Amino acid sequence: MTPEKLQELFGTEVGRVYAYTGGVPNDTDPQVHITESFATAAGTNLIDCVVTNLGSGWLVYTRNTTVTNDEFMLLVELPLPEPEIEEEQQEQEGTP
Amino acid sequence: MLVKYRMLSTISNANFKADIIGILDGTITSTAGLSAGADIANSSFVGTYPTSQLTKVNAGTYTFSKIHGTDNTYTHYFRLTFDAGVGLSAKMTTFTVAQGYTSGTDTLLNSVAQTVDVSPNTYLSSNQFPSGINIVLNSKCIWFSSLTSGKSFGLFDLGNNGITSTYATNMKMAYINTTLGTFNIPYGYVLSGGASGYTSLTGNLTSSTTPTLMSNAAGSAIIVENPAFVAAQTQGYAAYGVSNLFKLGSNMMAMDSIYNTSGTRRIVAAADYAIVTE
Repeated sequence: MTPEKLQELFGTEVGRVYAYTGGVPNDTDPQVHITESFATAAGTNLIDCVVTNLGSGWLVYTRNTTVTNDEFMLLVELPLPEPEIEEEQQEQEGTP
Repeated sequence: MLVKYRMLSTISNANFKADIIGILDGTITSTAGLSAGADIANSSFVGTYPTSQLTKVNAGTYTFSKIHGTDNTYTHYFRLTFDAGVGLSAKMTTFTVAQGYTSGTDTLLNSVAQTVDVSPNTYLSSNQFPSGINIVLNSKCIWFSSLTSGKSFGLFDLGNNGITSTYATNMKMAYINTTLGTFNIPYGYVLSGGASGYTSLTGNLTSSTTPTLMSNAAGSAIIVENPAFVAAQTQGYAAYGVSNLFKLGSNMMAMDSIYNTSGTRRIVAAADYAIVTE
């Protein structure tokens, strides 16, 4: 899934989207397992995260929590930077 | 229930936290229960605590459950965090809203944290708008406002629509910033072809039309209230009615103004919205 698609789905508020690359034990709710793994990775349970299955895999969206852990691969930081091409074009158009 | 919580200059961080949490968990239902840092003479409690809707589920992390006021099959959660600021520099820093909760590990499921940064302030009767923190608690909403912190926000019940009928895990409550006129539903179903699924939804409050002030046959001013809605582009603008939140005419009343409709108090937020207190 492209960063642009993730922004379309999660919005333009400041946030991060991670892909969960770990496993989920049998007979376990994936959302509970992934949330608790995320809290463990963050080192606190004062976290915010939305765990969802969009398309092919489990994603974690968070506004305020940062983790560095092999099980959570950062896909995108939101919002995406504004494209610069348009500004350059505008400058060129404005140059005599 | 409307709590007008007023504070003294001597308030401590512990006083502030104890008062806010005590009001929310129903252990403080009159001025007599407030801390030594509260301005008891100028605080007030009107109405009844919503016992059947609100429960403190974890005292250590200030986590609460809220049952939907009209559809008790839905329960969602919120959590407060405070910083360690001293005295008037104390701060309620975040208000996190969650779709679910795991009590064993005290973990919020599908949650979004909102930065709120509400601090205590000294009540001064000589100010043009003598104020403190106003708190509304009832079966359909929880709402805070602080004029000096420049914040007003809350958790409001949402009504049904086609999305909630089809995707029942879609939350039926929203965090609403009544100062900016924005909302967040932490867990809602987005419609996007093969990439459809539950995400966090944000957007602006909408209303059918902006009301105006009118007068009746007796010459009394009539404050016209319109329903408020939330809707997100990623749900095809499926609209949810917001319980206990009404749109008022533009710039008609100052923030924290209070008026009655059929005997029920409303309190006014900054962005031309009124919150029903009972």
